[in-house]
Amino acid sequence: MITLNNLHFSYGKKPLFTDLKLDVPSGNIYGLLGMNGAGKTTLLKLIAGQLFRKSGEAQVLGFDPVKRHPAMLSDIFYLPEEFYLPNMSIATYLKLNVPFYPKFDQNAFDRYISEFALDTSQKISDFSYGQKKKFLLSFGLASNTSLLILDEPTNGLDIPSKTQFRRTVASALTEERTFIISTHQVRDMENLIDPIIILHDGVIIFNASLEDVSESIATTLELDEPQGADVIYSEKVPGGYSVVRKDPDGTFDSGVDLETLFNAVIASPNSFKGGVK
Amino acid sequence: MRNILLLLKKQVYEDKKGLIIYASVVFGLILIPNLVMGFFGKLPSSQDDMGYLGLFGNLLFAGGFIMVSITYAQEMYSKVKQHAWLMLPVHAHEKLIAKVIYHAIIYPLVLLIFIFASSVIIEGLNAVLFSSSTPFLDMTDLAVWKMILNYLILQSVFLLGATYFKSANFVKTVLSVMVVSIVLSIILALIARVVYAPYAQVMFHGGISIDETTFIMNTNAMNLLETYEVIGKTIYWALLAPFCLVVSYFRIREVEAKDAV
Repeated sequence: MITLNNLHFSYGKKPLFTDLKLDVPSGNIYGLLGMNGAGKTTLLKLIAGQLFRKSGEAQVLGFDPVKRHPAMLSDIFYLPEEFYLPNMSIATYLKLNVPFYPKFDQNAFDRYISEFALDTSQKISDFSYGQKKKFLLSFGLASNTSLLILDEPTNGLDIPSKTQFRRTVASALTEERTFIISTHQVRDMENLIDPIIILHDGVIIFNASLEDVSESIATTLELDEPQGADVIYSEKVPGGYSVVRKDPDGTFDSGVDLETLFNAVIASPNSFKGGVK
Repeated sequence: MRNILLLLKKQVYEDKKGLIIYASVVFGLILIPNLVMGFFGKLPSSQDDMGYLGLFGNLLFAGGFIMVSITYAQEMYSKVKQHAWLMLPVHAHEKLIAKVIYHAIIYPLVLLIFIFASSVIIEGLNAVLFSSSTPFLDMTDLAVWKMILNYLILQSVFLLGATYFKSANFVKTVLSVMVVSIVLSIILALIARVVYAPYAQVMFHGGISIDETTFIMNTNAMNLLETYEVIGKTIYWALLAPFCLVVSYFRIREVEAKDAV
């Protein structure tokens, strides 16, 4: 679905990506994680054709994103962190925008709007930031595009909406669709995003499914400060230490704590070079 | 074609509020002075239609150029709106053509009908209330259509300015046109000085002085002048607008997220 090869990109003279490689097959909800300024939004914009690479190759849905071919754009929905919605009713917005998305499903849209408890009689410009986001998310999910890009989708959502967000997004995934969710709110995305891509200083330092991760490492909560060669990372948390250990034999029966895993990858990227296989 | 029509529909819906305000202000600006003058018995008893024609010309050129100038700044270079502009599933040329149709064809025609309708209403009111009226705007007047033709050409320059500059597009376009005009004038003056050297007096020592009698009597000089006129008209009527449109197209195609201001 997405293939980036030896991709170079820079803002002015400062290079951000050098020889970036990424392969994203369809049918998953990818979590794109990284610290501020790591290049997450830039990567999403390169994928969507909003920025042009300096060199390298890129294929998104079979198109070169730089060309911004309408057939590619009508199969991508990108919900950015900051957006604008015109002063009009939902019905008018749909009338003006649905014709650009041939796979749009009106019934699914009505269902999502209802799940997010949005008032259809209200003008979209009168919605709060969170409601606007839920409206755009409903539109994006109902558009049935093969690629859905969400940049910080849970920012501005209240707690029940975050739960609803996870439920709705998970239910909308099909084998033909791929969702890429860029976020700092790792806790909001637990049990939703898988595989995980971690971008650090313009380099993808981690790209693996949680299943692969749990086969080779374990994240545990321990009372005492952990010791031993198998400890990749530990941090003090209330009640003890959150620890990431090498666990190729499956000694520890634990799930993967995304936040701890992320911190571990950032703290010692060499331990995870190329992702956990 | 379908995408262009969809874009036009989208543009009209999104601009609807602004256009209604614009039309209301224009109508008010014509109506209120008329009513005031009528109330004090100062309405002109007879007047040619230059009043409405002049108003149409001002709104066509000044209003049209400002509208064209801000159209791209509001979308293509706007930090908040650029995302929707870039992700819209249409070709760059469709975005350009839709804007050109909207600003170069729909705007002048709607404005013409609007000013005509306003003149009919206002002059009707004048006739009923004050027993005095002046002619409506004559839509068949050749001067009206010459204005529209010139507007078609000149708006393409502002379209180029709109796509080239990222902010303050109108002012920057006007300043650029002035600078280009000055530079072209200097170049043309130097060329004229060389080509018409036999007819010109000392140019750099006491100004340009052309011996008109010799100049007009000389067939070669007159032929050259006619040739320049043909070249000038060809550039203006046939080349200027296509050049501006082609450059604008490349600007639209090459705009990136980092161009937003």
